Amino acid sequence: MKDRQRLRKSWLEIKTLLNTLVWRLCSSEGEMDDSFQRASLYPTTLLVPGLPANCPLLASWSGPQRLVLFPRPTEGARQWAGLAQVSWDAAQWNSITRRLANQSHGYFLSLHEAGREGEGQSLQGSDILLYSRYFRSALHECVLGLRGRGSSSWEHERQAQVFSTMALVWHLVEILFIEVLPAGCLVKQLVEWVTWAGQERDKKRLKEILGHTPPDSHHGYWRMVYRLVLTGRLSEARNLLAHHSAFSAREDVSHNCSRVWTSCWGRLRWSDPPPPSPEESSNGWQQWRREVTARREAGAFLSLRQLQLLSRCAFVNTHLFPQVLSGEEEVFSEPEIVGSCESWYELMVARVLFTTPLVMSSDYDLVYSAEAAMKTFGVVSPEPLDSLLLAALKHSPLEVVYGAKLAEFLIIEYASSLLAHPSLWQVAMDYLSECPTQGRHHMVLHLERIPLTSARKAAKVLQLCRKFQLKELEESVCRVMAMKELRSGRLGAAFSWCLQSQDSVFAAFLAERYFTSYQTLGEFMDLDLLDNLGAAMLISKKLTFLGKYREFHQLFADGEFRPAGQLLVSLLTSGVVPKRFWLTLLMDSLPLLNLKDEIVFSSEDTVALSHCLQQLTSSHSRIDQSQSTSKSHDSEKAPPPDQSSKLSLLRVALCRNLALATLQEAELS
Amino acid sequence: MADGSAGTSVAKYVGYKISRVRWKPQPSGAIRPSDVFVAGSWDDKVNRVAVWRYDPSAPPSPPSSPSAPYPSEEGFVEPARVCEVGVEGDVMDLRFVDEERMAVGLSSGSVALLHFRAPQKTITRSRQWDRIHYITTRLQPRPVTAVATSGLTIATGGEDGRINILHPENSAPLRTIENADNAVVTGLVSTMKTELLATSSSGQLKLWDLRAPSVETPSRIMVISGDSHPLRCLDRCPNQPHLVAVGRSNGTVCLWDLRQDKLPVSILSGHTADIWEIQFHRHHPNHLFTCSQDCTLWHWDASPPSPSLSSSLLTSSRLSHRHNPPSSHRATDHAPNSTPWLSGHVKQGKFDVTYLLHDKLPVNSFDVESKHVVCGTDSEMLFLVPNLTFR
Repeated sequence: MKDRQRLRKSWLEIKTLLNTLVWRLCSSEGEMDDSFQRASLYPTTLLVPGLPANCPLLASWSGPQRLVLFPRPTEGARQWAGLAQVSWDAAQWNSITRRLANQSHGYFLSLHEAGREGEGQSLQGSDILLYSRYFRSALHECVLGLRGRGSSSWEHERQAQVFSTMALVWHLVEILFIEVLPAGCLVKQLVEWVTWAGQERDKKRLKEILGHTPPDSHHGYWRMVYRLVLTGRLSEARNLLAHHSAFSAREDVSHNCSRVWTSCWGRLRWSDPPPPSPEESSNGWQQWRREVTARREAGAFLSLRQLQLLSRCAFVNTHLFPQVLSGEEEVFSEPEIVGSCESWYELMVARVLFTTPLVMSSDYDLVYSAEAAMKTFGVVSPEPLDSLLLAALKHSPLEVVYGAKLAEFLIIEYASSLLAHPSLWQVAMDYLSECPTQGRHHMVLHLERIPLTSARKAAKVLQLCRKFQLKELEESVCRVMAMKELRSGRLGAAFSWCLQSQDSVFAAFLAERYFTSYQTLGEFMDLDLLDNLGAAMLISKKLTFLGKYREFHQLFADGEFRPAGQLLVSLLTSGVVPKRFWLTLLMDSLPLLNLKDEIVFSSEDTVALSHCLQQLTSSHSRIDQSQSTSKSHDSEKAPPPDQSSKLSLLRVALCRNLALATLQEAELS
Repeated sequence: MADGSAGTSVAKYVGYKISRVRWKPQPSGAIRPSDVFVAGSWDDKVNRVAVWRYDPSAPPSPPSSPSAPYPSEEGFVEPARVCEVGVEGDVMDLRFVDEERMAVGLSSGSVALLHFRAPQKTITRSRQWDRIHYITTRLQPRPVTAVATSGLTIATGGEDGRINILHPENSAPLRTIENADNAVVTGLVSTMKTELLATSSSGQLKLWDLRAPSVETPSRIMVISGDSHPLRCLDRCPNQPHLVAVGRSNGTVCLWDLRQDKLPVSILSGHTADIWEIQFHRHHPNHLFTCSQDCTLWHWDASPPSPSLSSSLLTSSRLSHRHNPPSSHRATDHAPNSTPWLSGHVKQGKFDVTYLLHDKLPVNSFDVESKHVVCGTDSEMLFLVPNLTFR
């Protein structure tokens, strides 16, 4: 249980690291790559069109792949006053690599989901292994895709190299960290790891050698034999040896040689099924080793000595074989052996295979072999890949990537590289959402820079905001869209955006715009919207007022005068109506006051209305006074003549209504 | 990925986000279902409309064939690309006008008429109505959002609130409803050739009668009282044209009976985010399909319980995964005056829902033809769910 949890934890660490490795390796591979190195060492000069020559410039980052250029403030005359944006493309995302980005995104999410679901039971090791293999096969497919179709460009080839390197590292990580292998099985996997990448090439070369007549005259013959033996492909090695002209001429030698091989390797059980216990398999190994030594001493390899004689003609030292077989370590520094390996890790695996085949992933033997192999192979200054592999072997997953300590940092970097492409932002957001400390910050930064080219795209961004509970961003997206509509004079569309984010400030602003347009046009815009506000009315006080005021109009139109009057009075007395709209509302009471056969307002209501009117006139006169003191020459401008006539009309109507209502109330009481 | 009432789904990475997929209609009288579909992309540097061929009965292509750069798994048939054409802006909606031509609504405010010639394997642009959706002047185009076709008549709706009526033979719109919506038209469907139903981002469903000489106001407005969630898409029932299903931004499906009041008959909840497309099965109208921003594609089955099944249905709750009994068409499927969608059963939530797909990124579009569903997602994948079964 504890093991599994540890496993899961380390897996998640590694997985996130590896996901980010794409980016890292892109740059690290670049350093290994000659032409790329040239490109990065020598700065590229870019002529920005429209910029005057010799204009001193300053620059500032405006996004992951964007720079904004602006002129440096100088004493002299400004040659240019403006901004220029320079952005560069994310060339690493073409249709083939995008497929990889999407696929690995799927695995990343599936795994995190599985991790969350199985909180109690913890993630099954087999699940992790499954996803790890999915991931590697996606990488492999990507490499095939990049190299396929015959039209492999320089850029594609570079990417293919990056991804196959990734596959190599990832494979090793999988063997060491994810698969829990019994003793004796690790070495088998390591051999597979080391031969997997070069498999196709070896096959091709083998075919070439066998096609040569005689095969042993091919310059790569003995190197191939060594390679096959060192990577444990013994039947193939035997087969190749049998094609040697000397063997085919002398039956007995070939036969004898084959017998020795068979008897030696038949005893070594390092393949399926795994040995029952490490002790047993260890015993088996020791036995085998003793037998080989004994046979050598008894001269059983005499035929091989003859082989050595033969090979002396081809300048190859075949006497190495028995030494190799009996695990004499010095042999791994013989130039022939070293020369037949293509990399230090091939040499390391050969060494492990023949010296400590029962090694476990946590054994120090592995690291020792690796370091020895590196030394023999002459790796003086390890390149990024070398340090990566060594770190993996040293069992320090966090250092697998350059000793970087923060997985989160790498995820963010990877997400940023995804964001450099205009259409991978959804994938990037899911990665960022898995970063507990910095993720949200970056999400907001990137999301608010996504161009909202259509309402549908905005809706998708909004949905992400809701999913990740980015309330402020949700409001800002709606506001950006609403402002865009507002500038085009489409109040209704702006309003629907505003309702989506329940933005009270903007709702108040729009409500006022609606009322102002009503005041000037004499009728409401977007009636269908206003009539169906429902609970949305409560977002803002002004919106409530607008909705209620519209309700008043509807009641009035339906002939429901009394409820309409009540609503009007409650609107005016509740304080939700800004004072500048009072006159409009009071004027609306006029037809109700002047009804012939019905008294709508009680005496109390009438008093309330009169009070409002009084407040309005007194505030008007206050404004007049202040205006007359400041601008005495302009004092006769307020109140406007039509307004004062309106006010007097109202006053008359109110007085009349008050009289009638008082009379009626008196009669009733 | 698929379970429930369908065969194994086939996924195909295409390298761009897909906004719309549509099966090419078969010529009338054809017995075989269509094996050609088109897919439109969005949000890319260069967007395109591609024609694909998918024939599940064909033998799988050998892995090394040049048309399939990635070796397909053994026994699976992958769709193969036939041809494609670039378009300016995102593909917002796409509908076939006849067997060869399709109207494509673009985010550039233009509508393109594309012509696919099967024998030559080519797709070309035969006409384009440039920037017919705009604010004030054509210098400020707004995205087209919805395309509906009825015969050769094309109706397009846009973010500018306009509805344009087009004909393939006319270079100018036949007519324009200037202020069809004060917000954004989100979905269009034509009913009975002369009527047009439109959904809006302000939560309204409007019925337009195109017979009137000048259309300025809708003949009906239907709403959900006190609820202004944007409507996203709609479809009408093929055999009960008065039944309209609408998908909303909050993931609910509203069913309206156009013969009744302006309020919906029932509101079915299910998805957790915007429903992007909704479709009744053309031949089995008791079956409804929806795809959503929540990354799923659902199959809703409202077939009324047969007497033998009724006891088991009493215990089955919503969202249960009913195993597929042998396909049988009950008389109720074709009864002229009843549909289970308006019955009490559906209101009480007695219907089955099956996930046809659960992806990692939003499912933008799908199309059901006969027994096969094709669907396009933001994870740059085409999914084919073959061999649906209908009770």
